[in-house]
Amino acid sequence: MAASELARKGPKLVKPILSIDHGEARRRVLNLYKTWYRQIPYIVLDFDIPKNIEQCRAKLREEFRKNAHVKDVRVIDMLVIKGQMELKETVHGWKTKGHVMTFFKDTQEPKPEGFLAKFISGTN
Amino acid sequence: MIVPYVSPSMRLFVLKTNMFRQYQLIYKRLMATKFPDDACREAFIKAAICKKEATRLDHYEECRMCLPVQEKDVTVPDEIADLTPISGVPSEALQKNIAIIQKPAKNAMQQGTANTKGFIMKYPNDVTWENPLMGWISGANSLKDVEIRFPTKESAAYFAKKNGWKLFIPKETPKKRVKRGYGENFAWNKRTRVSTK
Amino acid sequence: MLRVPLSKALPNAVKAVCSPKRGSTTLAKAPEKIEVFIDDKSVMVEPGTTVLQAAAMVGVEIPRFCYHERLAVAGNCRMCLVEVEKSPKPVAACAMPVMKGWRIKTNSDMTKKAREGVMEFLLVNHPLDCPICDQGGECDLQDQSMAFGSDRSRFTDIQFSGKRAVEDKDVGPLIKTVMTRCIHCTRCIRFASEVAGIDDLGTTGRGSDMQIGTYVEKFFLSELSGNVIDLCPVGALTSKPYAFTARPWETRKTESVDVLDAVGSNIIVSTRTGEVMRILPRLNEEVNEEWLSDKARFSYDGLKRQRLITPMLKGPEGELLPVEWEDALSFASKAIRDAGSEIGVIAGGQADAEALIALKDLINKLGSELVCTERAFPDDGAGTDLRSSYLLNSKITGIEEADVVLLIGTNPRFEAPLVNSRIRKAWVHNELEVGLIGPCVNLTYSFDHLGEDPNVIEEVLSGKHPFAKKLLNAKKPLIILGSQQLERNDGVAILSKVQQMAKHLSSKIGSEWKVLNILQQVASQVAALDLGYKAGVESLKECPPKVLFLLGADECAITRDDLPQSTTVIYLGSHGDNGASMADIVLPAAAYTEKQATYVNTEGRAQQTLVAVTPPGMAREDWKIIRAISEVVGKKLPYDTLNEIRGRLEQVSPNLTRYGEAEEANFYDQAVELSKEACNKLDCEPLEVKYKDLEDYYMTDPISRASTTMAKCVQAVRKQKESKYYDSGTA
Repeated sequence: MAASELARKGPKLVKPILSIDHGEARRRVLNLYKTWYRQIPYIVLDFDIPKNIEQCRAKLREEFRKNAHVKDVRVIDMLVIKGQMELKETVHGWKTKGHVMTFFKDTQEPKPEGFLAKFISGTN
Repeated sequence: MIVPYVSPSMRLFVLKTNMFRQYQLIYKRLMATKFPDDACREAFIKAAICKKEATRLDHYEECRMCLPVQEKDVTVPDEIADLTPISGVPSEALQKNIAIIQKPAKNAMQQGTANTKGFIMKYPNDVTWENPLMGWISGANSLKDVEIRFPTKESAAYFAKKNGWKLFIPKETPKKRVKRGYGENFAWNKRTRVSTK
Repeated sequence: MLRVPLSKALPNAVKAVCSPKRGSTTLAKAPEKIEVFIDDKSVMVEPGTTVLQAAAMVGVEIPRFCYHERLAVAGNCRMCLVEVEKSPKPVAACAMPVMKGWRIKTNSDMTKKAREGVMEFLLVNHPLDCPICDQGGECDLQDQSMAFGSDRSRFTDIQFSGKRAVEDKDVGPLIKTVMTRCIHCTRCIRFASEVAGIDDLGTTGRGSDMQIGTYVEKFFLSELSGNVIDLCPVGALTSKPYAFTARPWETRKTESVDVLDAVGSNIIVSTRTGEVMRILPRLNEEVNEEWLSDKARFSYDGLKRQRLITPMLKGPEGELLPVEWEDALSFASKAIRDAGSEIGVIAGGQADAEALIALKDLINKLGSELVCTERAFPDDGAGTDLRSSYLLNSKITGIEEADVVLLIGTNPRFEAPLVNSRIRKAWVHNELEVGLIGPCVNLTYSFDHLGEDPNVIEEVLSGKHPFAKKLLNAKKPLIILGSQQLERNDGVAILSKVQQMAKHLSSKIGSEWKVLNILQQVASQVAALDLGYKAGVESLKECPPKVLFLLGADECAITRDDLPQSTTVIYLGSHGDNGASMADIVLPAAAYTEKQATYVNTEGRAQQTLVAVTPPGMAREDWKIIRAISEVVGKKLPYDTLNEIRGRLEQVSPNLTRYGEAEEANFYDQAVELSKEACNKLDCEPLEVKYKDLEDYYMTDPISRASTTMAKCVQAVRKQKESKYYDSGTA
């Protein structure tokens, strides 16, 4: 199958994951975004994280923006499903404070930038 | 139940949503949470009550999002889908590693060829370091343990492209078949005649 | 042995038989294929194909112990017994040629019972050593007893006599023997006599007294001896340096390329816990088949010894002091900045193409052109401009097709053992005729020794020499010239004569067949010349630069005495060898198992090594060190990643990134014309080769010089020479 798919070009019909067109996928994305947006005050409250609502909402926007380039309806659907799972895990308290904070990557040490710095640290 | 003092706006929220238990919870948290200043506290309360649907999702239903799936096909451009947004592989890993697709090499120690069928996709080794006390080896690249088997080179390449991997496919060096006969050992005019037994 | 040429034996035979065309396929009429059935699957095979080979054609693998594709058929283990319909007894598939219409059953009850019986016989006298046996986990006997053996034993030993026990033999520092485990498949004997060309191994005794051994007490010493370890289907012959160090299932295997000679054998590096545990050959029909030379296989312990693990600067007392990378880089770049354009490079024998191009780019940016290789090559004539004058143009596989080979000033047995094994293969199977100009060494096959005098080349060229006739009559003649002769003063004359000879011969054949071949000795040379390095250090000796960069150059092409006191020597390499000892600044680099790097073998075949382990200590990959220096110097090289530097390689010489492919060279005629103009006077000094004896073979480069195993081999050869059984004629 793969060889032929590598060669072919042009539109093709596939089974949808959730949505049948971009409009529907977009609705799902907005729906998810809104739900997250509205839950953020509770999340901030429940997890007692050192971030305020505005910061969280900025992060939410950032996370959604990250995938703004995605055009494939199926990939958008998959992302929506993943976002939903994240939301569910957060809202139900299946995550802990640490999990929520990993969205912010505060404790990650910045990797050395530039060839020389990488060379000296031995990471390139 | 003793209801502690709440501001009028909060009371309104309670009345409106009629969610007493939740209110209690929020209230408890409100009392426990240290806000840097009153403005922040007000902002929180506002944010919590002013939105129309700002209800706690207690029994969050996935189907809220899932509109009924229709029995219709969806049109997508016919190229290898880019799964990098959903594959979960960090983008640094994608940039750094080049996947190698090749036939697994036969173990020189053995004659069997069962393990040399098909193709594997794997990644080159990365920097490791040694634990100074025990000498254990650690690394930061979990991909070096990944070896995925595929029936054909094409299916492996398809998988790799779909997942955004850069590829290296070494040239195959198939085994040549040489005709050998028992009679050569006893050839009277050839150097194949066996000298030692 | 009776070896009367066919033409003499059969005076009236048809011409086709007498002609140098060999093998049944070139006979006038292609033989008709016959149909046989393997497990009811039909397959068309040539007559004379064995049952086992016919089965392999349809993907049915018949179990075997003694049979090996690259060795003569022995037919003594009986494991390959299969049922043939209407035959009362099972037949040995490895030795039995198929007949028309045979129905072979590889899975019938009779076949299964036969296999079970053979397994039972083998196991009666095989020790239950598996838990402490090095072959455990990759043992054909283990696997086949699981697959085809009985699930219970009838071995009761009512006499308590124990199993058969055989005394172990000491066959040298590389091969460990546990002779009780031997199942007498005789693969090692056949390998030694057919491939290695040493009739040292053999059997004595019969029945249960049969033993494999060297007849008399002596070592099994050959440059290919390690291959019997791979061939041994049980744990009778295992690797001595690898003994009890690792299990096959705990090692990580990395496909790589050997760089200890110019053949570029394909290898698998087995590593565990950041250490190279062993090196095994990897199948590549075009390069090393499935063999590996002992130096490539066993010198890996040299990768752990004598390593440079930290940058070093020369202290006030002249001793080298370890420093941090920052200091080393700033000192090196200060020296480079001060030198301005007076900077030169010598690239050693194991430099990879990435490091070579990075260093050349840096030096050129600084305004110098003094980039040289350690090994010289005549500059007159076409010099190194035309690839055909420094490649093994006919490729290694071409040797198998050749019918006459003339070796000039080379001892391929020790310069490139796997090229020599190809020549020997052709000698055995194609009745190849070999001539040798140069010191009379033992090549493991018979050859016409034409003399040591370079003027013999002239004689052969002019047709005066009797061997010239053989060359002229040959259908596919080959001339292999050792690169060492090109380092002589009359190197250009030798090259020119050989080129003329090759041109003469190929014009006579008139086909695409390449006659001219140069056999390089080191792995880096072809890549360096492809990238535009100057061969030889003469120009550096003439005007010594202020900064001399040694890229793993350890052969003392330039010593400290050739340089003024003020010259700063920067050594970049993996081992503390000759180069590092004369350096002012030492930069630790990666060895070939520790970097992903490009090497081009003597055929012009680009291949890459892969990272098997991390460079030790603070050592870094070579090209990255050069890239870092360039940035500190202020002449930043425009590549940061391996992909980018490979893009640069491709720009300079596109063949360097076509991995696995040997790029054809061209312009043979032009090379001849150009070299004719150069000085054409041959010296009378006899041709000399560097490695004449097995003793010279083992320690030739920084890695093998650091290896204790290789040192033990040298010791063993010396000990062997004192032995009363030593025969210099066959050693």
